[in-house]
Amino acid sequence: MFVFIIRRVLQTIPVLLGVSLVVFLIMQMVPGDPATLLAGEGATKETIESLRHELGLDRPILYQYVDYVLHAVQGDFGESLRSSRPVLDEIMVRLPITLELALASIFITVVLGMIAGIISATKQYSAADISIMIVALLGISLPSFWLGLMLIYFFSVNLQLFPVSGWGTFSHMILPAITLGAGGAAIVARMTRSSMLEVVRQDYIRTARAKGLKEHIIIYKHGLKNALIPVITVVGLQFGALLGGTVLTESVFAINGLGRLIVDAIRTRDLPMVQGGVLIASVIFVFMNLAVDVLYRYFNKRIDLN
Amino acid sequence: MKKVDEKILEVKNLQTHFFTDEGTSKAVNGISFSLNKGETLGIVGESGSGKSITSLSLLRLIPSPPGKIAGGSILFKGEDLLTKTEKQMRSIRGNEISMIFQEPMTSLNPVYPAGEQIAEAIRLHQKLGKRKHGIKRLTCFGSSASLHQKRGQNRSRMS
Ligand SMILES: Nc1ncnc2c1ncn2[C@@H]1O[C@H](COP(=O)(O)OP(=O)(O)O)[C@@H](O)[C@H]1O
Ligand SMILES: [Mg+2]
Repeated sequence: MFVFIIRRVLQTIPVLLGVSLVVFLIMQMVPGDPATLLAGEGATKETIESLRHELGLDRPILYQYVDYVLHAVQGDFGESLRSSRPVLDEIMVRLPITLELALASIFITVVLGMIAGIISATKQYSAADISIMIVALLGISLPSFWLGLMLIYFFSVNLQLFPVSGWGTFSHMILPAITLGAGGAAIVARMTRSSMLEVVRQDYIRTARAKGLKEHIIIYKHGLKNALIPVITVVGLQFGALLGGTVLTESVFAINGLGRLIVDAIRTRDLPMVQGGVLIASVIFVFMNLAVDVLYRYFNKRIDLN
Repeated sequence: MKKVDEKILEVKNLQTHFFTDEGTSKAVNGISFSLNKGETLGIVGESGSGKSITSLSLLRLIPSPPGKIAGGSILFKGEDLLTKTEKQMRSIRGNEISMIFQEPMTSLNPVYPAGEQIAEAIRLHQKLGKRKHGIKRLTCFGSSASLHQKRGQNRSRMS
């Protein structure tokens, strides 16, 4: 297990290098020159050129990239073009907020999704099952920004139960977490249901019955652990989608997290900030996948991941 | 000597049918046999002739739907198993009537150790201390052969 984890950690290196290259190249290709933007309207050609030189933008691209990576591995992602503060510092202020939001949503996704899925599977075709599946279908189909706006409209504006926007207290978290977690919860519910229904048809469930075990022990001891194996994969993938989703959710609820930081940076062509933000988000994503693999292995010892 | 004519199991005209979209399959169609205490009975038949379904019927483990015990009676120690409640059946399964399934690869739960799964039934019905029993059995049979041997024995014991 230890060797496996070490090996997987090493494997993330080429992945992250690849991500950094892609991000770097995309930023090279987007229209709009940061130096021109920074210099402001009416700046002379000379001013822009000297700015380009100052920022290192006149050097060969490959040189710029290697330079960037060498600094990045030491935690130096450059300085924000807008605030002139180190990119990493700005990200570190925002990151905890986004992680809080992500964890709250993953909680909604996992707990709500699994409970709903188990109820659905154990009471197949009942009224509860059908209602859960209809809600799940809606959950998958509704775009999160729309869901977020509707939640704000009903629960914050009309019923005044929760704050409209911002971050800080527990009640701030609820609506954004539901907005971000709903789609995942719906997918997890459907996945848990079908996986559970598949598992209860397996021979080892019949063996468990033949021992005279009670139904709830059959379901929870012998069924659930097997049924959760594919669900864990889905949850892992959802976490990736979740990081992307924070961008929308943070915008809808005006939360000053990493997603909003990146969006603002893109709008203002704050190149180092975009690169740093996307790279940090990728690192989190890659390590989430790794955690999923480790969990997967724990739940199913037969799987050989080497 | 044992009393040879003490009937422990008597199956009369057992019918187990499967109701599927393609029609009704009479998997077991009127089988009758009886088994005395201490006796061993082997049921022989070609593949698909209904041996497994007969055995599963005795434990009332026919998947329903599509399966259903459509008729007949199963007298175990003089009482008809077909009239027992699910709770009463649970105290019989794995306790008074056991079944060792074919295909250990699929019949055993992949996420638990085999020894523990064997011990589970014994622990459940005899309220024994954790693990002891199953482990002893496994070691006395020897690891992988145990499943096959045990299956052979139990199968003849039951059907
Ligand atoms: N789930 C099922 N649905 C429909 N038919 C079934 C099902 N399970 C078993 N059968 C039918 O029952 C018959 C007897 O099967 P089985 O008892 O497994 O035979 P065997 O004697 O080889 O153990 C088979 O021919 C099959 O068509
Ligand atoms: Mg068979």
